[in-house]
Amino acid sequence: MPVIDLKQTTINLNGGGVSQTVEVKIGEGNLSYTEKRNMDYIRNKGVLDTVREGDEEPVEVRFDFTWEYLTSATGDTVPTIEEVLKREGLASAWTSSAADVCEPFAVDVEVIYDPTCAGTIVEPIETTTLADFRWESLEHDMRGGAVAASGNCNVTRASIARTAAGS
Amino acid sequence: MKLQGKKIPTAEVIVPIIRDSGNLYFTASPVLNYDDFLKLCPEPKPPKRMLPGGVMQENVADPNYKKKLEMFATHRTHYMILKSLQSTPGLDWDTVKLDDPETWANYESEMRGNGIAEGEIARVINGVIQANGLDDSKVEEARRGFLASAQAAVDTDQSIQKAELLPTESGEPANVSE
Repeated sequence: MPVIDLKQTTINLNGGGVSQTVEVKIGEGNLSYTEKRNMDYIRNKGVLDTVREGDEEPVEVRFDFTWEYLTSATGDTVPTIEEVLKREGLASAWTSSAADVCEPFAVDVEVIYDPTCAGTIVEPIETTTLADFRWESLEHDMRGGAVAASGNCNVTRASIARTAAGS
Repeated sequence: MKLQGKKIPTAEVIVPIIRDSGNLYFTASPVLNYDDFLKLCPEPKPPKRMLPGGVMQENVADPNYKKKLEMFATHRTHYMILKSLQSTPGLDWDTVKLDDPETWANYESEMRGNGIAEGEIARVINGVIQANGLDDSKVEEARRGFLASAQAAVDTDQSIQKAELLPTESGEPANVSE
């Protein structure tokens, strides 16, 4: 289970529409996700013979962090994480990140890890995207800026991309 | 407005470009307002960010905002140079248009393309800086000059006062009997 150190990390919650993004600057905490796959081992007269991939499993995501501040792409209005995950309040007009609009509302969780510090060697930025995340349990403490949520993504794998710093 | 009873003169700076075929002159005058500039390039505003507890705050550390602010400052400098040089008689730019910020940076390449050397361009820009009161060395020189003349005035005043306090010869004693 990959555990991402959330220091020097921002998390974007992206809806399906243009400028539907909330950027979360993380204070303390962690995010973990689990990719699973089922393997069917086929035996021939009791002897292991071949392997087939079984049913697909969604990526399980769990995060528990305190945030320092939230910003949005639109600038002046910033929905809270809870509003975004539930599509309420300032995020009520958001569209789902999922292509099928009949499915429950989902967002893409984008974890951007930039390990570069000023005056050191420039490291590439790693972006992990957990597409179509739907929460299943959610604890939110707005006063303390703490969020704890778990849920699944409608994908079997997280997508990881590395880009040059500053790009 | 008057300062010490005088109208404030305009600080025009003439920058000569020496040529055998006949000298050329750039005139730099102060840019007195930036209203037109601000219509074309409004000052960027920092985006808002939400702190825990729901407090909204301006996010001046936002990298996009910083980039926009840098661009704004560059445009402002270009505008100041072009607007200041507008008082040069007969100066026509080929590609620079004062109502199109994207063309403002072309002034330098246009000058270079028309045979004005790097050092001469620097002198023209220096003239613009002087005309707009941004030359720190000139300001410091003027401040020192002002303080020196103020000090000289104080010294003169004190020497007059000292002279007045010096003992004077007594006059004829009063006639007691009178």
